[in-house]
Amino acid sequence: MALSKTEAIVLRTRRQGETSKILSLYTQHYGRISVMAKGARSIKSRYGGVLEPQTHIGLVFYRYETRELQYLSQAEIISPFAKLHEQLGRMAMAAIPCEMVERNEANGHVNPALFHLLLSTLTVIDGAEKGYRNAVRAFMVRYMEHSGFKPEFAHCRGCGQKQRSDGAFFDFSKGGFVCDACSGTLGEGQKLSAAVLERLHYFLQAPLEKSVQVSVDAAQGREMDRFLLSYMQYHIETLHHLNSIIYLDKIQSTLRIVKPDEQRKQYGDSE
Amino acid sequence: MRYSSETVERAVHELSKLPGIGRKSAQRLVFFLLKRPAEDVKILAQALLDLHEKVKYCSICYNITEQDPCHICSDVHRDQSLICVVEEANDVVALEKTGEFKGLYHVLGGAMSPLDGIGPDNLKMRELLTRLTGQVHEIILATNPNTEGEATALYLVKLLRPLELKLTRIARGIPIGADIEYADEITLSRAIEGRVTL
Ligand SMILES: [Zn+2]
Ligand SMILES: [Zn+2]
Repeated sequence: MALSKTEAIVLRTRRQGETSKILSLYTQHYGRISVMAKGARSIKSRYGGVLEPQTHIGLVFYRYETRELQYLSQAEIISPFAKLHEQLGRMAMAAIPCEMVERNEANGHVNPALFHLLLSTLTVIDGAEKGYRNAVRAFMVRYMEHSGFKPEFAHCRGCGQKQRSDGAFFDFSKGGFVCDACSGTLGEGQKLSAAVLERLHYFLQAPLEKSVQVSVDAAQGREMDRFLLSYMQYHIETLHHLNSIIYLDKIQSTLRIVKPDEQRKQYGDSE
Repeated sequence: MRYSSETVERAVHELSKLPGIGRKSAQRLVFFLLKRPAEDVKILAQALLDLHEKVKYCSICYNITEQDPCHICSDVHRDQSLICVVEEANDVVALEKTGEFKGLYHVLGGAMSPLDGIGPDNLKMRELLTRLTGQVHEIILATNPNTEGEATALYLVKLLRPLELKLTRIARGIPIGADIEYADEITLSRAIEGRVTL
């Protein structure tokens, strides 16, 4: 057993017993871990709001290498992501990358770059004036890169030719688009417009905080979201039926009182 | 099987499914029950069986009850213009203990949680809307002051705002008996936000 110190994003919390919580964390130095926080739900808990989902914390914990469950010693808030917790749309968006990491990252698999990607995604969702939905899209593209399925949006997988103005067919198994000449027998995939290919390529290359400035209209947004989910699910079994995506659809469809444009803005879609 | 009796093993197994009870505690309970007179154990067993036989949900507020509507909903002395929205039936018990609240309740049956797949249609939200006839003037949101409770409150605000009712949220902040210096930033900023004029 060793006292270990690291930074983490709280992905999810579960009640344990009368007053405790088990936290699912993605840490900078130890990957995904589960930590027991004794007494964290008691009204006099010294942790207060520190151990809530989608916060950036610093922690010290008792680390048992052979065990699944670790024990919390101390925790403090590094960033509470206050705005993210005050708006339904931002909160729903932030849940998506958290659920992806929580579901798909195995215990003990360490990836500091993924920690930083998740942290900057939540920072953008919290801080951006608008367009933060693009940060989730950029996260998804980058997450596929981290998982070994880096998509190729700029050049044909077959001949390396640059994409043309009329879009192209993205072949899921090849992880990239293929031009007409190279297509041969088409596998499972989706036809993407040039505008969407261009934007996805930008999300893969540019710093994440720049993604919010990219304009995405409603049709492009739908095309992109359908593609991202299908591509992720084609390669990664655990990313099927993400609860956070179903949740987002539900709150959007039940709050249809506002105008569609207004609605898009509320969920961080850029104009 | 760890015990010489399959019946003991089964009782330990069933008890250890209860929240906060591991195999060890379950075993202690089983051996305690074995030493009690049979009559006492029968009373306990009957009490457990009655839970499912007799207890149901109030068709108005979704609190647990044996009579429908529940004694709170059918109490004409309570303020019918005030509905306090809570997550669980436990919360009604806690609020009733204060004796401060004279209105009615609405029990949602949980809180919204994206990672657990709990959205508005898993909770008694639509049922709340159907209660909001002319005589209700104020809705008090008393969901828990954690991420899930906040999400639920934010959703209800969006859902109810067009109805032009008075919407209030219970104060969040420093618990009585705690020290300000040990409070975290989130709790403190909520406490400052929720300050009252003296
Ligand atoms: Zn080609
Ligand atoms: Zn009732």
